[in-house]
Amino acid sequence: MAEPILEVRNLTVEYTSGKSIVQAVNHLSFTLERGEALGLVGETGAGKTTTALSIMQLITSPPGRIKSGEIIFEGRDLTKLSQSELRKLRGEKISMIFQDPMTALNPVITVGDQICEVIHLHEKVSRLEATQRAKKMLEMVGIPGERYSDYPHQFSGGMKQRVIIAIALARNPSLLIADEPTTALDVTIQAQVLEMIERIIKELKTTLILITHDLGVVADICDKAAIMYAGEIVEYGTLDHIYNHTMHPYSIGLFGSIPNFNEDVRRLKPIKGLMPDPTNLPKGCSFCLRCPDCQDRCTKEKFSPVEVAPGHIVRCVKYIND
Amino acid sequence: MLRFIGKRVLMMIPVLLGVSLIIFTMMYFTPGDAADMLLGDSATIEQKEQLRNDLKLNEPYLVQYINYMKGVLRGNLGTSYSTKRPVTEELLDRFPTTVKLAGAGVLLSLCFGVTMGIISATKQYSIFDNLATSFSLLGVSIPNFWLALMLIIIFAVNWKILPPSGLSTPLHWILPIISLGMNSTATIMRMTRSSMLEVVRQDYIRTARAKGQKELFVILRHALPNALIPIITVAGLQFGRLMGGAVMAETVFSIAGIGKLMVDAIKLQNYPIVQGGVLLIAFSTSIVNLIIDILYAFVDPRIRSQYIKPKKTQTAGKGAVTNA
Amino acid sequence: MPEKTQAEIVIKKQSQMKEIMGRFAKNKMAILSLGVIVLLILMAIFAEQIAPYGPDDQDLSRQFTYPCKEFLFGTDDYGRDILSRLIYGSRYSLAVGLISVSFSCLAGVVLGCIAGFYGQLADNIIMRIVDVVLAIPNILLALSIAAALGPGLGNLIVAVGIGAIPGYARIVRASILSVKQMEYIEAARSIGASDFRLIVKHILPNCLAPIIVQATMSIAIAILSAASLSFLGLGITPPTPEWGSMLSAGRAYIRDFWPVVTFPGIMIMITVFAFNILGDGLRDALDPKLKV
Repeated sequence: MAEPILEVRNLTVEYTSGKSIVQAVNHLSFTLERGEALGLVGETGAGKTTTALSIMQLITSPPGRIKSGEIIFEGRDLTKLSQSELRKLRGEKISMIFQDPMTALNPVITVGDQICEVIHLHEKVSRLEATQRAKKMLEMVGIPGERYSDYPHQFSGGMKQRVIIAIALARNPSLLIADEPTTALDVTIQAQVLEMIERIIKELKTTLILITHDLGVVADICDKAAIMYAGEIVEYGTLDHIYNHTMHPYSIGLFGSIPNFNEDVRRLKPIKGLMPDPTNLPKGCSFCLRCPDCQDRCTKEKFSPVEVAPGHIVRCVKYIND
Repeated sequence: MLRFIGKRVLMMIPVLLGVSLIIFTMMYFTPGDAADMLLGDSATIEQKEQLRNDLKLNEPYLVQYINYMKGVLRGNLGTSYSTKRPVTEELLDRFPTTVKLAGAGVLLSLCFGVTMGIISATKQYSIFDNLATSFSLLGVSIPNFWLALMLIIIFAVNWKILPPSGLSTPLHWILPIISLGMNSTATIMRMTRSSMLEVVRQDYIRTARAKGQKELFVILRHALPNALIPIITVAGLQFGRLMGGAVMAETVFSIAGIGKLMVDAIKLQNYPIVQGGVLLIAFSTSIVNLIIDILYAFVDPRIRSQYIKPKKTQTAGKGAVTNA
Repeated sequence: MPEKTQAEIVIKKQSQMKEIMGRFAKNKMAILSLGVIVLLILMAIFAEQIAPYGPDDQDLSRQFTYPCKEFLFGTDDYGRDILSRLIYGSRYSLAVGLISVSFSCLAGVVLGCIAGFYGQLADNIIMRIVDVVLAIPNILLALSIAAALGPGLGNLIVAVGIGAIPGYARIVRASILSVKQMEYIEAARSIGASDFRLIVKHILPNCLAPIIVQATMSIAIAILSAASLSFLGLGITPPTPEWGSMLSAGRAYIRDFWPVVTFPGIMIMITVFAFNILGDGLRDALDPKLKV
């Protein structure tokens, strides 16, 4: 399975607010192969959601703008497609599960009709057939089909997220982007929903981008992981690369700040400091202000990513061999 | 649902009682009474006193009010001093005209106001938005009777394409409805715009776009229904406002509606007409408010489920969880 | 309204004020409308100095003069200078607007405070009366009160003001209900603050923003209603140069002489427009969340 389904090259996204420009995503590149599951990990504000919305081409403009870069999905550059071509892809080939299930469903339309809508948009089917398929989708995510004509307010948060998953998968898309699908849910429900996502994408052979700040979840579900910091991918590789051969100081910091059951650690080691101000990113490496291994040149120049092992890419001065 | 409507109708009663008490009290303490009006200056004091006794005008205030309300319940609002006809008849003769005027005004302002509001909100900060917003500010600031006068000068006096008064042909309706509906159009437009702007930022709009839905349908099918509650609230209020505002339009355009009847009655101190008119208009606005409340339930399933007794959920456990 | 301690609020007050002023100053339309209102007020105060003629200077030889150098807005049926009458007329409109709003604002705030703070019986009685008043269309209510009281400036102010009371009562009641349970109110109560002190010092400042906005907007409404009543002959009657009554008197000549019905209306519109924009601007400045 070496056929790339999605290639993001040099993506840069900006938001303008008043006079200041927020650089949400900076020169981001990665490749995703068909059937793979990629975990996009990073703190709040690292640009994960922006990346996802760029792939959907749903960045609200203004204030947002894709400044440069290419997003090549199944051979076509999404940034160059017309709106009507994009509409044919959205929901059909690329779907997205949003962060907050409480607000992502339209409160005045029944959940069934909301699933039907996406079926009708991309396929000429009779009303009856669409209804039946919507019911099947509901059952697939563990909701009885007879709740088809209930409204979102009659569902709990976890159930709503299931409905959203049903909407996203109704047309069996080749790429599913799940943007922190469990953050807004109770811990007990989180596991259920994640398990379900994992089961369904395996069943349907869907390619997945899972956005999260939870390294544990990535380890459970994904094949590859990308660590994002301040709009850049600082480390990218297979789970083995990321978890067992952690290279980038930020990734090391991330692992240091979560509890580990295998080692007897007295104290967690949080990463010192805060994310840099996105309206005023450092000239050099964006992590230099918090990096324990910061060198003189880190504050001055940007480094290109280095492939330290096949498929393991790190953007850090320590691994550059001049 | 029926229980809800019944409850709402019951709630109307104290309000209407209150209205009748207020307006009766106001007219009671107004200088001049029926005897003066009916008999004129030429009558002797004895004649007037006789009439006051006949009309039970010498009874205490509260007794008079109760007598009046007894009549109201039987549909008898008293007798007009000037025409000697029953007030109910006089009012009902004119009522349809005013309702039609106000209704047409609301309809017109809904058509233009909602459309302009939607376009403005979807194209925020565009030229259209700026123009429409300025127009709406002008629209809420323009005195409607003055607008009526200006419309007469332009269309009736100068261009002579529309008649300046009366309501005999459809053409006659145009100017009164425009002058009456201008304020409401502007108000509804402002409300639609702000309500839509609020809604289009919601997550479920993004969900609809992520499904690949066309922008037009995203707006009409997903955004508008959610923006409708404040819009119909305002539209309902506008009906009441226009029933009152009809006073001005009917005066300027010499239209025989309730408003003109009441203004003339006030000048002639013909109080039964004023009392009855206020009561009738308050009653009709209460009915409209009731309709609006019922409409809420049609527009928003969350409100609907409050009205209807919660039905048994088919799935126990998780299914019973409702989350607002 | 995030939960803050009173001390934090006090510290924040100054910077908050600055922020509000800053936001307001950025709104060009609002600044412009404020300028217009200041001009109108100056015009009302210095009418004697500004007006080229007296408001009642009659001269039948010059009746119905169209606008010219001598009479910028023309003259009316008695040969009175329309511009001068409009300048004097601003006194009435502004007086009605400002006084009736202060009166209804005060009454509404007091009623709203009682209803919101004490709840139960007081709340029920006050809010039911509010419902009743709101069931009568505003202009009809003013009309009936004006009819009962008779014409005149004072009566007009009362007639226009009463209908505006429920608006304030509702706003204040709602704001009080929303802050009543806040912890800093509990804290103030626990150190023995009296009800009056609680309301005036701790609760009212929190609903100041909507009250100010409502007041500005209702000045506009009051001026409109007053002009309407005068136009119907129930407010201020001719020959007083009130704008509405000028329109009423000029109506007879609508077919032959447009200036008498045009200019007073424009004055009303400009005044109302200015107050509306000011209200909008204040709302945006005071509560940026409401800005859409």
